[in-house]
Amino acid sequence: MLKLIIFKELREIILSTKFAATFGVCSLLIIMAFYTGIKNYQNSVEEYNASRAAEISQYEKSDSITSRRTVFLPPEPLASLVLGISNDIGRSAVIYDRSYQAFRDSTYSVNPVFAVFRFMDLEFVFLIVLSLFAILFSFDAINGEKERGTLRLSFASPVPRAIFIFGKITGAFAALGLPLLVPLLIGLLLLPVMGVTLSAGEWLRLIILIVCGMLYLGVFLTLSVFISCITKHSSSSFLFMLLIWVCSVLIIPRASALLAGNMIEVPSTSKIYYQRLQMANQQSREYLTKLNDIYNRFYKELAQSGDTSPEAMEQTQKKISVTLENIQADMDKNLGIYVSRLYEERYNRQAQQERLALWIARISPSAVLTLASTELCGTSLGLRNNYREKVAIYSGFYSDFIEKREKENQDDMQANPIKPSEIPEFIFQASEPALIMRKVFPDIAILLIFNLVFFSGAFIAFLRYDPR
Amino acid sequence: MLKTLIEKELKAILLSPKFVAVFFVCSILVILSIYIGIDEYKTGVRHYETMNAQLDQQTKELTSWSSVRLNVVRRPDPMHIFVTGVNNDIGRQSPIIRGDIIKLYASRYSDQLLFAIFRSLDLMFIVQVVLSLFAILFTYDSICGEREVGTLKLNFANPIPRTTYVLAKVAGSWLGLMIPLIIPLAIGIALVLICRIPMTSAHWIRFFLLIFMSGLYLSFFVCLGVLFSSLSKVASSSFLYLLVIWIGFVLIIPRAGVMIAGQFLSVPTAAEISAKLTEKNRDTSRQLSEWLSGRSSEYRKRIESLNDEDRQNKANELREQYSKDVTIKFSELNQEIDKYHVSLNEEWRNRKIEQERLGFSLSRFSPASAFQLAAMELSGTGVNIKTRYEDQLQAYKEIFNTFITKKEDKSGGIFAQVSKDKKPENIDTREIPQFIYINPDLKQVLQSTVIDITIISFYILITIAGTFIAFIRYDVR
Repeated sequence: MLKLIIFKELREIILSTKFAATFGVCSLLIIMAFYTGIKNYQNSVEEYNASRAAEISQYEKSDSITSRRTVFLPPEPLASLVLGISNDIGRSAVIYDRSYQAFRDSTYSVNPVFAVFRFMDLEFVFLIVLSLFAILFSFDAINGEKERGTLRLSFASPVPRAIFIFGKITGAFAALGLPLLVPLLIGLLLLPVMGVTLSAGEWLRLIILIVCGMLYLGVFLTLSVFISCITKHSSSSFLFMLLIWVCSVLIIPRASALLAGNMIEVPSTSKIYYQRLQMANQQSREYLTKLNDIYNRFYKELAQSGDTSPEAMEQTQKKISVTLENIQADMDKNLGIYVSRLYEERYNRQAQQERLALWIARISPSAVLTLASTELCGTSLGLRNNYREKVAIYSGFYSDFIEKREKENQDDMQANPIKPSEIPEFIFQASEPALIMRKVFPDIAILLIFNLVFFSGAFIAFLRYDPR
Repeated sequence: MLKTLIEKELKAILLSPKFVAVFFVCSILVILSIYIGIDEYKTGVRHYETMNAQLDQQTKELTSWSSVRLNVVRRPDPMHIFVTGVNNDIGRQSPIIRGDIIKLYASRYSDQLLFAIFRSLDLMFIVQVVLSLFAILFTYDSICGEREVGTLKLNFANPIPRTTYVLAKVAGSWLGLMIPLIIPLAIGIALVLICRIPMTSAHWIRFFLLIFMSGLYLSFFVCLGVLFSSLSKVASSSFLYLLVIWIGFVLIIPRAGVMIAGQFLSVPTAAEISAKLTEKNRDTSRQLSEWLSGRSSEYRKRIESLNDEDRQNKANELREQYSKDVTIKFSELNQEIDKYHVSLNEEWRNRKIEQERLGFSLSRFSPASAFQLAAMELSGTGVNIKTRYEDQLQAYKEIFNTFITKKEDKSGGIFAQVSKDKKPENIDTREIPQFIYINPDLKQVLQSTVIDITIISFYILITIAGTFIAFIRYDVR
């Protein structure tokens, strides 16, 4: 019986003209998203190599040692499929003195032309198209049949209601989900065909991404069936679904970020920059007074000792310079601590703000899909944290290298320029697969819960439904 | 006759549950977006003021003109409340440093990535995406829906000309759609006035032009809806086609156009440009140090060649001459670097402009992108805000540099401070020329939006003509 109902539903959807049209559009979009993603990836690899080569070439021409260097965020194939924040994050970081400047030159700030309309990536296609697809085919699942009178006919035979609604939902899901796997598979095949090699972990992440997409489709499908059970006319259920769609896809995610932004304020980097400058100014003023004091003190001591020989003079000079050097070093250290404390505070506030915003946004299944897919493809906010960490580690590493070279040069009494091949390479690795899975898990769970809630809603509503 | 028909159509829309839902959503969205915009504007102004105050304090404590470092901050504009555009994507500040390129840093989105995930919610977005969808919702069944219910047949039992009927349909739906836009907008305007946002008359003109563009853009979707509803027999299929077209126009064509342009025309990366600049800077500093060592040895030789008496008298003169020479050479080399920067930048920019032009021409196939580009142009948040800003900053930098050089000359060149014994005085920061960003004037803006207005009007004409033809042949049974 169940099988029969599922097949009936499947046939009804797949043989309709509506299906042919929408399926064509969906397939086209999915394949296009894969294609442009791969192309973009190849372009950004080229760009990355060019930037790096340009940076390295400076060493070849230079005959002195610079403690400054710029590192770049390398592109990743999955990041081109789901762009997330990868175009908003500054891609280059200038390293000096064991620290780094804020990331600069995000793709959108360098090329605002792409920021006008943004890109069309796989996540975007999933987000908009899958949900609309689900709504279009199931907004009238129950009340449409009632309007046409076929529902009454169906229940003229002894069909249990539970089996009927279960069959309807599964049939619709199979009819929409299975055909979509075809363009998705073609897209996946495009990756190796166009010369993009993925690791096993990346393949797994892509497959989980597709599972998330299917769950998202399920959310809108079960919700549409649910709404069509609780409304009398298909036109009103359609209106409801469209409103829910607008809210879920377009409004809640945006509003949540703005809401959280208003609730928790984060000090800007420019503010920190000025606080640092102020502190440095204050320190230099203090330094001047201390300098005065020290000179006075040592020369007074010298005068009191009554020793006027040049050796004593020289010794005093030496003492003064040592004391001053110590003071300077202390001040530098204090400034460093002060600035890192300011940044830490900023990061903490920012993390708080982000956590709040993302949890509010998760009311909407679309936001959940966005968060899960960006997490899977390494373009979530975690990318920034990861990049930040890696650059911080590298800046220490690079400074060690420079110090070692400077010392060697001092020992050899000559300036040996750095050869490009000697420079330690900046290696950026995406988060570990296990960590990614742990982070994605709550989102997948939320999508599942949405499915279950709407499914049981539809189930219960249909048990009480009046088919006449 | 027309009046009665429009009234009937309007009444049918106003009394439908559709209208209630749309009105409710629109009101919330429009008012929320303006409220958020005002809030962001105020935060932006605060940011701008604190940055400037801090900078002022910094410069006030300086004692030498050559150590003045400026950091120009981009001032938010009230029009950003309604159209965010690329305002959040491009940098908000630019340091003015001699021999360094003008570049905007620290965009809002790169500073606060959270907001970049879902982007912002502005009036333009609501009109472009949400209201256009509602326009379709209002009209997809205007003809075929009546046919399905059977009222169309009844209507044409009376002697109504078909053209009048279809015209009334379009006008009625259009009016019905404008109500959910205009009423919350009026509240929004009141909000702007209450919050004392400094809108000048030019701002208001731009704002009303924006509303006019919105009306024009929405008329296109109203006409499109009526066209498809008179092309199809069943309301559900007309909606399906319209939805596919809507997805194409609003979501896909704009993005695809720019992406295709990006594929065809490549532009050198920022890193390549900055590497070229660093090289030039290094060359110049090497040149300078060579020149300096040559000059100083020459100077020493000349002093040595003098006899004891002359040495006393002429040494000072020579020293002054030397310091003047150094100052001149310094500014010469700086100018040379600046020129190089400008030429490099120009070449880069030309490539980018070409890319932009191709991308935007392709995306203008969709009226949605024509509307968006026009709206961004009207509010001064289009892509050219970046180049405009950088150009004006470049001009300002030259003014600033000549000002500083003059001041340095007056106080006796770069090395003057060191030789003087008297206590250095604080400089008067009020003398520093101020940077003021000049928005393109209304005429320029209008000139660049004319193309978009033409595109949308053209689309409207085509759809109206199509609707008339389709409906005249329509089988009302």
